[in-house]
Amino acid sequence: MTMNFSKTLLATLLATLGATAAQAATLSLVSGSVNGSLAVLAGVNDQAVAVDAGIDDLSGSGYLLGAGGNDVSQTLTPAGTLTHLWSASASLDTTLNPASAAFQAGSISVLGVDAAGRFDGSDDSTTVLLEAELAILSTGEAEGSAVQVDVSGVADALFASTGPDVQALTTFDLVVRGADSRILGSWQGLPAGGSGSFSLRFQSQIGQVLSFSLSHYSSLMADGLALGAGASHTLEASALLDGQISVSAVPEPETYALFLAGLAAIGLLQRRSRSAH
Amino acid sequence: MRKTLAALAVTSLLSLLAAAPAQAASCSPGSVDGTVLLGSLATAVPNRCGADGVSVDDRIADESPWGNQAAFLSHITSVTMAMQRSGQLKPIERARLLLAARQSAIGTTLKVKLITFNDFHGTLKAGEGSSSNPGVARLSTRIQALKAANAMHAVVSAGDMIGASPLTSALFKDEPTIEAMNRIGIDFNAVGNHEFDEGKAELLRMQRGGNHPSDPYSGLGLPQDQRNGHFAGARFDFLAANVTEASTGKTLLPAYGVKDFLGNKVAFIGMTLEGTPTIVSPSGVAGLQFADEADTVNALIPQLRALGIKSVVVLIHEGGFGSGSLASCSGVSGPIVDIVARLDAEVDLVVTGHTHQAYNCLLNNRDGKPVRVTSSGQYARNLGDIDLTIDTRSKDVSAVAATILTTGTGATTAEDPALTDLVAHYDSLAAVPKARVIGTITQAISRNNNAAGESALGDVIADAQLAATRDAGTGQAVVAFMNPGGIRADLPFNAGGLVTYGDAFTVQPFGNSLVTMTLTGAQIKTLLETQFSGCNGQGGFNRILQVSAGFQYAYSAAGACNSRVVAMTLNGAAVDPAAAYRVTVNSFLADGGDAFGVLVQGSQRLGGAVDLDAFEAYLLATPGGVAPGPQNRIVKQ
Repeated sequence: MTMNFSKTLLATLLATLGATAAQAATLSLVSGSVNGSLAVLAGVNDQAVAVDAGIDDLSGSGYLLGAGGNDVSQTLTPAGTLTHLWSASASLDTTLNPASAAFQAGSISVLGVDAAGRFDGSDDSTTVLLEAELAILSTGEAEGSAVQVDVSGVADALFASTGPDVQALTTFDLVVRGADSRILGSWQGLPAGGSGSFSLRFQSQIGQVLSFSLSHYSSLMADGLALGAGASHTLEASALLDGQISVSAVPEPETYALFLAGLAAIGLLQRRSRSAH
Repeated sequence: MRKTLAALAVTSLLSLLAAAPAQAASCSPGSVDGTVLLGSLATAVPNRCGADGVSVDDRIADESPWGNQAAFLSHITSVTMAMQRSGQLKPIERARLLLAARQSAIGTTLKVKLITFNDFHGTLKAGEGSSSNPGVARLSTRIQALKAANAMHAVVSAGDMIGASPLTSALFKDEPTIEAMNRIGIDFNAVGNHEFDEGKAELLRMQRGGNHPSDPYSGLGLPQDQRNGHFAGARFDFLAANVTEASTGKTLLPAYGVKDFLGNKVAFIGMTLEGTPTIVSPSGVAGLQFADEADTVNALIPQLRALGIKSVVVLIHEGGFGSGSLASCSGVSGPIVDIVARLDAEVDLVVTGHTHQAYNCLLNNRDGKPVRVTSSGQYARNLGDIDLTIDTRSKDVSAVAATILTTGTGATTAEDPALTDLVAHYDSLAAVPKARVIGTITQAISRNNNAAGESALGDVIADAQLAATRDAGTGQAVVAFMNPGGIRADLPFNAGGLVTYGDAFTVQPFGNSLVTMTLTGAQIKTLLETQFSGCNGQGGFNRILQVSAGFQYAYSAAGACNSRVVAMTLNGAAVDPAAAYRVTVNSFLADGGDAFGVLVQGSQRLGGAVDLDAFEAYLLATPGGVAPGPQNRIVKQ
């Protein structure tokens, strides 16, 4: 009986806390943009493939989306092909959860060399930049009320070459700024071919507009190589960052006090219950 | 057991959050099953089975609903990165998939299934009221099948879900219908006129729960349908955008409800016809104001737009009259045509009711653009199967496709076992009161009108009302008038001609009481003139009152308003415009219902028995059984 009572009390307290959080902050996408580009230059026997491509802004209500792609295949003389596939995208979506936004940036670049003679080398680079203005709003709380912002995610990069020596460089640069352009949180990574994760936490307030910026750069440079008859090589670099930014209310001091009082009450009841046995 | 349920709940919540179905192993690791298909776009990428028994195609889950293109592209980018890392995909294959993913346009639109019905009128039990009624368990089967096939769905009703119900629901204050809808899981019900039959307080009780203050048949539901041992109320929202409380100016119930489909919000604006006060007992709508339908919708559009909502469905308990099959809309007429013609172009779909018709129309809105307008008949016999295609970039509806389905009776459609115990419970509780024999008839008595608008059952009911109020102590009435809308079914011929309380209740489910008043002959003429469409405030169609024996008149349909009725006689003598007559009507008409405002002017009013009790007494007083008469009291010239 006593236990039931204390459980009910605990549930009530938790519900109180839940209710406080429920009427709290939301993230709203005010504006933003996605840009990016690809530049690749590769050659076999002095026959070059050069591609420049861009990222299209496919953003819609409540989300940012940019995506770019390229698929070229060049027939070489007297024989062979040089192919290049590229895809890059970045997104930030506030529509699935009012208090958080999922974001992502990534790219993949694949060069295929099917030829004999000499591979002249290649230089392949991708840039992606997503920028968003995110307003912290609330229906229940006053402007200026404190909120906590959490930004977390994982990043991952792969690169490989079946033949030519390559140098890969992959970076992600995440920066969140406040109204006065002051940096509230940032993360930079990552070692080529490696992975990393981040978890940032900072304070903000209802009414503040966060400037969110996520940029990605990937490059793959390959040295020249003599190709044997019927040689086939693939050179590739892939990178991806997945993350989310969320806001939550910082409980008011009164709520803490109520919660602590509740805990104390439960402790007292349990002690009484023990002494009764 | 409880732990398992909790775990299941958590699992389903997580899978909802992930916006992708849980993936069970379904292929043999290392095997290849054709190539990956993204939507209808073929790729050359082999559909390899991963070490965990999930194929590339299954992991991409392109068939799942995606709230926007970013959601799908970020999903496929993430899951293919993991597959690239594990070797299930080669880099070049992943690049091909990502290029195809964008080209496929998956996520740019989202299909939402709307399952709609209207004028359900508490028809829980199959065959009750009419053998054509499939019952709520069959309706549920059809709804659950559509839900199961469409993760994105909403179930909505366009009014008259309750009120004018057969006994199995009505005897229990329509609580069984609310409980059945709770079990089916519906989202919104726009109020109709019949939601106001028993007044504002009773409507709010339907929404909020709690037992009726005095009716002993309230609160008798099964434990799982109750809350703290009482009627639980609706677990869906009643909507009434055009009904405001005169005292506060606020809507009695929410004007609209919003359902979010993976970040795509659809607003459902619900309302009843503006003319509700003219067809409901004034006591039922006291203190309430009913506003113009189109004006109400149009005024809400800017509010919705400010909330970022551009997908708008109107659920309106007002309709039209069409002819032809379920799929068609030939020669539609009626109030809905004019309402839609004044609607803001932001409205994407209009789900209607009230006329008990089934139609599937395209009607022009204010901008002259066609908008889909549907109605699904009555009594759960039909349901609307409607696909809204939402452009996830603009969040506006880009296409609407509707089909009106037939629910199916008998073996055509199985009964949903999740509903049958509820129906059986109330059926069994109602068995004793329902089976009580209250008299006999010599053959079935039909409510079908002859050309003049007179029915055999209407004559019998009017005679019963006159008989109950003819004596010196009960009103000294000389004539009774009965509204045709209050006669809800035929009186069937059972073995031995026995009439049960259940049969009689189905005919007259409203529980109106009789009122006897004094009218002049001139006022009686006004009463009869008011029967005709457009005359003295009468609505869009004729409402020919049923009259008691001894009263006769003729009318000329082609005549002008207030000059159609001629040759009124009472027991053979001409009705004198200046003389006073004692007239009986039910309380609905006495309060001016169905636009018969002249009855409000009647003097020396005396309240009488409940209509059904009067009917029972009349049967009892006719030992040989009541026979249908010749329908010769009203003559159409």
